[in-house]
Amino acid sequence: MAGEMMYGEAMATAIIEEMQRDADVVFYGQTWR
Amino acid sequence: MTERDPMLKMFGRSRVRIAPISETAEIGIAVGTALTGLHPIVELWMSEFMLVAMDQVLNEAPRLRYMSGGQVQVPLVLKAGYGFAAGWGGQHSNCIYHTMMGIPGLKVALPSTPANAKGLMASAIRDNNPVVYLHHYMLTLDTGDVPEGEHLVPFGVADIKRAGSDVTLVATGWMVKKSLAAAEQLEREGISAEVIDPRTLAPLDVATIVRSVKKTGRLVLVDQAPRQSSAAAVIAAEVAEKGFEHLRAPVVMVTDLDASVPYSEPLESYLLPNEEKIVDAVRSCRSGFARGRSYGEDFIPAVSRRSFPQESWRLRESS
Repeated sequence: MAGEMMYGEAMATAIIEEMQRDADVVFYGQTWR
Repeated sequence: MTERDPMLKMFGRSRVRIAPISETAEIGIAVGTALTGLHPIVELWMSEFMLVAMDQVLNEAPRLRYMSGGQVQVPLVLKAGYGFAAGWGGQHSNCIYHTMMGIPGLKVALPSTPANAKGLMASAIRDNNPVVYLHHYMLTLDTGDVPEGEHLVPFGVADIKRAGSDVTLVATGWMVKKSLAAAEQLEREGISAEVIDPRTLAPLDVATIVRSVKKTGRLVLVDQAPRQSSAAAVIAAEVAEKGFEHLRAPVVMVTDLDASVPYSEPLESYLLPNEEKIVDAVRSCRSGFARGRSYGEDFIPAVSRRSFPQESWRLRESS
């Protein structure tokens, strides 16, 4: 099954799915400030 | 990232950290985290911000597995936007993947579609080596079909986006979209262009490109990076070594001009590859015009005069 998705959304989906799959995956984002 | 980011709520502060804008510290901490067995993803707004952490990116993360004799691994993803072409000026509009694709131990992924954006990211996270994952800002809002659930795109496997028989176009990121549009236009002229997206520059799927050149006999490389620091230059060298006998015309590179990307949007457009430049390059390649020529800046202005505002051109001529 495939669904329509935006490029940016597809990246975020992969990150979330991989973080749900593997508890060793961690995320460092940059602050806006 | 802000305190209101939903990822914080989903995974908690132990797995999601808001780092200060200090790339040296952020990437350095991530390399250390990876050495302990975790799989950090570092998100940077712009790929150029990695330049302040080049020791960590080029000389630490990719070397440690080799230098420890395989005792440690650095499963790290450096995610960053690149190639912004909307008047963001010389420090935010660059393509610096050439610097990274030549570093042993470092992998480089450049998705050009939503499906590849998902699949390459999942593969990058599962890789036990450092991966620079560069997403193109001009593609952020593009939509396309994306497989639901687990979707992995293997590294080092190029995607033939469009089959053709007269010329091979190799492009990455945003340039894939422009090359496909150029191929449509060429088809109306009776020229059949094959469009290949390598998807990863390290590893690079040279075999698929050479197979295509064997079929078409002509190669046009489309790259948003400046000519002499482009992936195109590397691919041209690989084809010269591994597929020279198949070429019926010189390889042509359609690249950014060798200049800092200007803040002025008309001048920015003047510098960057576009559909018209790609079409003209293919026509010239097919007509034999390219033979024996150095196909660089002497070519690009000639085709650009027609497509950019007159004041931009006068500005250049008077400078």
